[in-house]
Amino acid sequence: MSSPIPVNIDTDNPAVITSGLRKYYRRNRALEKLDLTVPEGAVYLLVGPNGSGKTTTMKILLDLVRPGEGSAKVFGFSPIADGPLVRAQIGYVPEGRIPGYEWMRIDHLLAHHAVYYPAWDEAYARSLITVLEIDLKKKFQKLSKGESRRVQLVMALAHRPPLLLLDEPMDGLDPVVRDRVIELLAAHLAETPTTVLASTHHIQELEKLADHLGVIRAGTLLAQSDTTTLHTRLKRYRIEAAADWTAPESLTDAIVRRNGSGPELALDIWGEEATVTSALAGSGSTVRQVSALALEETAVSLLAGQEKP
Amino acid sequence: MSALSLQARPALDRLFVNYTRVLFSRNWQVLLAIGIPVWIYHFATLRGDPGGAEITLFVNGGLSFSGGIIMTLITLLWSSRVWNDLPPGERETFLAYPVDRTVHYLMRMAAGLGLLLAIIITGWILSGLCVECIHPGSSWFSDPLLRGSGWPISLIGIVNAYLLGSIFALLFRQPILWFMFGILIVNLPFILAVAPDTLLWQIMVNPLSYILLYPYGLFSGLGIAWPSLAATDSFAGLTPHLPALTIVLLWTVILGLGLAAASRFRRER
Repeated sequence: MSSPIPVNIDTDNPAVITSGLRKYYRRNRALEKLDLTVPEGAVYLLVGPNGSGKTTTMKILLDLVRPGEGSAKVFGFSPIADGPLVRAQIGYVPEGRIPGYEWMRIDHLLAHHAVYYPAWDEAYARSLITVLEIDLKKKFQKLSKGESRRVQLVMALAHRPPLLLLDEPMDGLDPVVRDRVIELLAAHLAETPTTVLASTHHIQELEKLADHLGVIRAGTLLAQSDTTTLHTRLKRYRIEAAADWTAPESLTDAIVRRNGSGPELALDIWGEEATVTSALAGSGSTVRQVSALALEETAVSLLAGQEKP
Repeated sequence: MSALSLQARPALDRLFVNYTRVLFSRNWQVLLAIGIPVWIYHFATLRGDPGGAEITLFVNGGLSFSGGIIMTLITLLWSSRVWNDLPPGERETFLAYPVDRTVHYLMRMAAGLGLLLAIIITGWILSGLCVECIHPGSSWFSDPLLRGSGWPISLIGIVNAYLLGSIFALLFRQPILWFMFGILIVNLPFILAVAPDTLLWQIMVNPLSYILLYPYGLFSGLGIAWPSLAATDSFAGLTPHLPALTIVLLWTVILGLGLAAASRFRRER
């Protein structure tokens, strides 16, 4: 029986779709047959450990990196063949500071950036600057990590792109500003039809906005699905069982993670709650508690891998 | 929404400024290494005889060839070299903008060309001023023909050649070929029609026209007449000093550099 964890998303309107993406940096694997689907209008969180291929995926969508194999489409356009068209539709917050503009003052940098985007909304940019408390007279090299992140957010949002690529957008922000950014993103999504593909280690902060989750490890998607399905299908079952208890055969592939030993076990299992509970009870264990997983717990559980009993 | 509309003029200007700054800040020593000898040369040759003795013509001819090679190197290879040496993050900062990679390549070349022209013309004007101070009346500032029709026309030629070459390159997305074709179209009337002294200054000022000297030298060196040019006084003393073999070798080097640049361009894409 194959794993029931979904790795494909069916949609008629994908904003981003990749097919069999493979990328190696010399001998180091970055992506291995990545099939990513981000439906139009979705807020898709791509999570995974460092070096799992999140940043490379975003760079391929911008044609900053070319895949060894496979293809990518953004709103139906190929980043390689239609690079300028694709990049014009993307607001990109790269990981870390943007190098190359250290010598510029922020107001000059924003004016410089605006030139490339005919849809740049100056009034909106000014309101973002106010909300994020950006000092326009500072030079970019004088900014702290958090301040430069805020400037990058303005650069990404102010031309109201239909696709936002956010690579660790909360990195370096203090808790107060993080809350403000979440509110700002929520307001932006409410006003502007936008698809978001974000990679983050701060899942719980973007959980309120996210409606899709992709879990990536070693360049391969372990799972991708809408969050509603994840919440309803992947649950934690706390059971009591004998020391020599073995999981029923019907659940072998559905157990995503197994914690604990002895009489008390915590099992993260994919499936209908009633079916799973019934199968567990039928195997001689006693189900003490069933709980839904937060998005971060879901990601951690999926990343920990499916353990076979 | 077409790709070309995204490459609006202000965006190109910004790219040009960006790349000029990158090239200058990373490699200003190269500019000085090229600029200082050119300044010295101009100072030395302008001091006594701006009119054109045979030896001056010979030196000018030599500079034309070396200048052509240097310009080819700089416009096609130097800017790419600096670009490839940039940290990946900095390259990505530029490339993330909605601009075609061909345009990036062109703007890098233009930045390299612009910087070199700036340093040569600055040196040229400074040396002219110095000569005028030391020997009043002997610099090109005092020569009405050159002042009135020589280098200003050359500068217009440079600008027009660059603009037309850029437009062709943008439209047809073949940067090197169309860039050169644009330069050729703009420069031909100057080469074929202008007065001899103007032509000389055109060659000295406009390094792009150095490149156009090669076919002329090749033809004349091989004994094939190019009537409209051969008839000009400026080249009367030049051609006998340019053996055909040297010219062929130089052309081979130029072609090799061109192919290397084309190959590098393909890799960058």
